[in-house]
Amino acid sequence: MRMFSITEESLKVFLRELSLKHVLIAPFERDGYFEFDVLKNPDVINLNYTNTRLSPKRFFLPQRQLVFKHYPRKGFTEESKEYSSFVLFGIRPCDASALSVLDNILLSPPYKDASYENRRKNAIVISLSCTKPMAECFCNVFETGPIRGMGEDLTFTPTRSGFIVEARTPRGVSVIEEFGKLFRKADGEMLEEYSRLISKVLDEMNRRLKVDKTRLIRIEKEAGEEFFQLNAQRCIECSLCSFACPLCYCFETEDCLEKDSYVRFRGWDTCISPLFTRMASGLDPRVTKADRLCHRFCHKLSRIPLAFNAYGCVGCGRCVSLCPAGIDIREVLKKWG
Amino acid sequence: MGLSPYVPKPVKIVRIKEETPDTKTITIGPKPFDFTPGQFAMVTVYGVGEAPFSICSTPSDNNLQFSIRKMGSVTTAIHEASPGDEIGVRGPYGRGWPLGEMRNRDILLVGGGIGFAPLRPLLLHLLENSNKYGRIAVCYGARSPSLLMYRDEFGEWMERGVELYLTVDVGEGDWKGNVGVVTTILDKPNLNKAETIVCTCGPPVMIKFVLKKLVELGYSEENIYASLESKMRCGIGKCGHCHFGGKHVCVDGPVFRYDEIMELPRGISPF
Amino acid sequence: MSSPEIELRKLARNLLERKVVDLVIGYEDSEAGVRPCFIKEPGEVEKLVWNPDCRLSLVRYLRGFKEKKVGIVAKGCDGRAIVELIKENQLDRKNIFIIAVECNGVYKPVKYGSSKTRRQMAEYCEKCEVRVSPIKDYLIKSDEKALEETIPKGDIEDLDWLSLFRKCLRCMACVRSCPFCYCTECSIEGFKPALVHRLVDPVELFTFHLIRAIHMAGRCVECGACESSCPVEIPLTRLYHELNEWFRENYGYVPGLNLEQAPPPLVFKEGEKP
Repeated sequence: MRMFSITEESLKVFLRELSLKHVLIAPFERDGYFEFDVLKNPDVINLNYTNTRLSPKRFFLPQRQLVFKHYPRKGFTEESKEYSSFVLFGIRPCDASALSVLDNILLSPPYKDASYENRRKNAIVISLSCTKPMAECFCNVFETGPIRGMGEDLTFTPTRSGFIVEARTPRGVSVIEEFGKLFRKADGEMLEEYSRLISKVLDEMNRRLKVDKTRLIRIEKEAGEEFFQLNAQRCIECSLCSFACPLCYCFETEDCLEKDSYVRFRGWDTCISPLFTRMASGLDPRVTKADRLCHRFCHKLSRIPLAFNAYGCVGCGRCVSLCPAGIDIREVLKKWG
Repeated sequence: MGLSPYVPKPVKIVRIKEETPDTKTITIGPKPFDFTPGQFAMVTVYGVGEAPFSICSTPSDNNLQFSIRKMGSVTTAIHEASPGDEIGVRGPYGRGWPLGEMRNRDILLVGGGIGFAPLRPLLLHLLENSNKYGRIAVCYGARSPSLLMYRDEFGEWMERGVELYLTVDVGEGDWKGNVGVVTTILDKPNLNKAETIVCTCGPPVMIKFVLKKLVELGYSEENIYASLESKMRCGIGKCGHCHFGGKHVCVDGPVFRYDEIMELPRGISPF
Repeated sequence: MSSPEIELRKLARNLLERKVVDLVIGYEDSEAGVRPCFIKEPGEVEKLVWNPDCRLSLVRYLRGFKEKKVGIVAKGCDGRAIVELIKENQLDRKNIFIIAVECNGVYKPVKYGSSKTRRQMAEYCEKCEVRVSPIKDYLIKSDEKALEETIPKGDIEDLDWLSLFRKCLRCMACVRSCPFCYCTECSIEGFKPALVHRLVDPVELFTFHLIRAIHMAGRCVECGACESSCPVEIPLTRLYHELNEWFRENYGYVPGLNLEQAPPPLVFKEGEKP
């Protein structure tokens, strides 16, 4: 992958030109927090942002989405349309890495999730490195940041004189080629600054929390439930951990009768919900809260890695911050990692 | 083509038959896809919901059949349907019974209650191709005689050479057969136990005791398969509802071999 | 360490050692922030803390321990919630040891990615008139000064409720953290047959919140658990406060103050106007 550089001025031009061809989505500040929205004027972009409270997975896995509309009288079934192409600019490497893990899971045989595939195909994902990680962040544990993620097309890293830009995929390379006059090859001095920055930020994070990931498989064998019992007492089953997580993908469906059609919607679900595995007969393989919490952590830290060679957590820290009851995945990591 | 895997195909109900007081077998036709015994389909009642059901007709049949017990909103809606009503179907999904393993071997089918539904397509398929397989025995138990499914076919099965052993938990009316749980008749089939392939399906607690008893009787663990059930929303391993211990019941099952069942977490595992 | 904390730990140890209670529900500190803790052994009482981050109402946890004798750290609003729940036959007074702590307000939570640096008092604490629980088994006084007040967002009419509700994710955190949402199956969660769908129609976001507001009217003690759990910071307490004001004006009723005063929806007086 090739390394380029761009000045702040040229970045503004880049964004302006991008917004003419695509829907450009970037971070905004609202009421003291950040969120992604369509950017119409590139001059108001806020690149000093920390991270968005809700993850950008909603552009690929919407919170509610039409699956189909069936017209019994007309005799046909209509699906939701393809998403227009968009550019997701400024997501953090952890969130971009989440997309790469989701690609593994949702596009793996025997079937592909068609809507997710369409959106991924049509999106250009541009990440922005973290140079000042937040207190909740632990992306270093899963190697999903802080400078480079795994699922983006381009990585922008702020330096003293602008940005270092790394093209991570063939699509990223073609974007650079398309806007060739704005980008320059990165010179040796910038590359040196870049590698110094990587080690500085990584060192800082490793000092906070360092975990031997390979030992996490032990959660399966040692889910001796006292740890999960303690956390289950606190858990209020609110579903925030799953909703905020950039990687949680489980969904629920709802069918309804509309004026002249039958519809099915799908949307975010949480394995913490007491109904998640409960069958109509009342039988429930995960009937206690402790069972469900244990499953959540086992799934993310042990089973996804076993099946897909990638971890089910990217260390963004949203669940830690948003859980009303203070359940902390870092405690699981420290205990078993 | 072009429709996402989550969209069902509309089909019409051709026939509805009452099997037991709480179970009906619906026939839809013509069948929208081919399948192997043990696979399931996601059946949609438009406007109500979707649920997984084992396909209980033989693959050679031109129609598709499901035996459905009245439990929740989707199954209740199906029980209130009539021939000519439209439902949605998509499939086939899952791993069916291991037909390849069964070549030239004796086969024992053990069913409990509505658990016989995924065993029936297997039985019919084996009978249609009986030259490829050894002896076939069936042990089938239900809570009471009126809850035994496919009663009107028992005679035909026996005529075609099936060793059929029936039992009920509680006798009723003019029942003269065995009374007791299905484990009490497991010793009756006259088969080459060490080489027999066993396929079982029923309530989890039944599967647990059946598996234990089979091993005790001398059946080999590597030849024992069970079909498990789970809540499902997609049927293709994406929604997460049937995910247990690294396996999806919809993709890696619903048919699991004995050793795979031992690995499943407590809760979904019948043990 | 503040003296309310020392007193709290001493009391908790005492209660557990003498087996007056089976467990004590309080707050503990952790890397993730202040969070609820459930203490069964006298040796664990050192975990208990008391500070302006002790925000989440613990009363919601009492419903899981109905068979046990439980000690609970209760602020003013928490105590009011207990009073109201006793009136609704959800809690048994004799099974609860209420450790009333004098509260001077809690901090607004600072969540993921916030650009705010100064801590401010939660908005719902501003209107609080009941700093200490109206029923108690033990009182821990606190001489903390009041927290810096937050800048009010404006009167209720100034908020664009439709656009606020549009942000709702239907995560149900408000319902799950509320002491009064004890229904085993929430009527507006979307269970079949669905009164209010969760996924199908965005209009249902408004229906959900309006129905919830009506269910809360005259019961809500404005503890702010819903608002502080909400990931998109919908100022729910403000909405419920307005409905509570209606009960106060029309029936002279304020929830949670008086064990003897029956909630107006359960009372019919002859000659009462509809």
